[in-house]
Amino acid sequence: MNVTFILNGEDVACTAGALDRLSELLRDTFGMASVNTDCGSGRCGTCLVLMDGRPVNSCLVPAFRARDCEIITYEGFSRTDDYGRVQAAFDRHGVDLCPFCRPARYLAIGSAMDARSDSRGADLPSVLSSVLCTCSSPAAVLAAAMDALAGRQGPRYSRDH
Amino acid sequence: MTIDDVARPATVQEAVASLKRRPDAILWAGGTLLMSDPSCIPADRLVSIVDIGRLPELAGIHRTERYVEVGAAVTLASLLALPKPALLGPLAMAAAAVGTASVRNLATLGGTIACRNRFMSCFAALSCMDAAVELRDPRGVRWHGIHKLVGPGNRPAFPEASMLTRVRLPHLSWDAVVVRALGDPPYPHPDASTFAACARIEQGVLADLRVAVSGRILVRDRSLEMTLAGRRLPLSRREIGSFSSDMAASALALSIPPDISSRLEAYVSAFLDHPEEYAL
Repeated sequence: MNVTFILNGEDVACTAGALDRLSELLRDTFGMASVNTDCGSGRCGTCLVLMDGRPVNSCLVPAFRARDCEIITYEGFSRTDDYGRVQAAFDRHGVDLCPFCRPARYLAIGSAMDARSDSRGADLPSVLSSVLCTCSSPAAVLAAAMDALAGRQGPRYSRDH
Repeated sequence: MTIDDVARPATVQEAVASLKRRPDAILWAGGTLLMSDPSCIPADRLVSIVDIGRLPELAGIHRTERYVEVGAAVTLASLLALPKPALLGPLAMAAAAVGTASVRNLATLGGTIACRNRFMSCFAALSCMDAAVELRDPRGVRWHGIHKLVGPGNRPAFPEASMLTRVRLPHLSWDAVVVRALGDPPYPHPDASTFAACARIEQGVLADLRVAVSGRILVRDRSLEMTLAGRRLPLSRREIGSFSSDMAASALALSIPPDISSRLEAYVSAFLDHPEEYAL
């Protein structure tokens, strides 16, 4: 089947099996190396992408479900101002995430910065725990994430842009 | 498996029409279970999928004085994002324990009910709440108590070629609520089970008590629950021991493994011993 969607702000199209995993599609067809395809069951969270603004496990999203959606991967997020804020917050707190979990964790925090998200503030720990990795102290990651969030108020895309 | 067709209806009526053409079609809302457990999708025949995840009619949440009505395709994350999720009592607690936040952005309430081969964790909570479900098929629309979905041997019996469209949750304020995984093996282990209990206390009296276990089978014994209704708190050792051992015996009789049954006995006992510790 033909699948068309918006990937990191660009219209893209591809041919895929209806139940092909979005994670594999992103990695193999579109070269999104940040999307891991490890567990395939929604446990590790390293395939996290933003789908219409919400963090989801792309290994649980079939290709047909991606049709007409807006998908943002770490590659796209790293071109936004919010990425710089998240990175600066982690630098301030001296937290160095491993390459395995950094993309997913940055995206999770990025989703909490989005005005459409339900995960601002109180639910941030829950969103961050979607990514399973023990490279850094959860308390330190949360502190950096809260710092990043505090540095940003209001919607990501204002009418002025 | 081979997918021969993905229908994308614009309305519930169109979805039901698709189901009439292909009664064996898989209704796909969140699809988290279907994607994580390939055995849920038949490997020996062509499979047709009806994508109902974006139907606006299935995405609404309506609140009246007597109940909350939730569309079957409402995600667990949306349920938990309601201004007062505590109103949903055990369901909110069960939903919060499903997967991770990113999984709950995909998983739907309907998906936790319509699983064909087991009762998912939210089912125990919905059983305690005496929820009702709206089912649609080519013959029409019907409301049923959720226990209509429990078949012989207390096994799942979701009707074939039917579509779950809404779930009605009665407004009941609970004073004590608990939802816990029973035992160590998490889903998808076949013995993974969930224990849910809730109680209403009025002037020191146990006014209402509900206890359920969901897993391969559903355990709920309304007559046993009634034996404690109206008793003054704190319950005596004998009352607690008798109730929890009878509950464990019911579970054992329904083929729940002995270690899970004995853990159920301990959990029920702890809940009845100090219900105030489980206040919402």
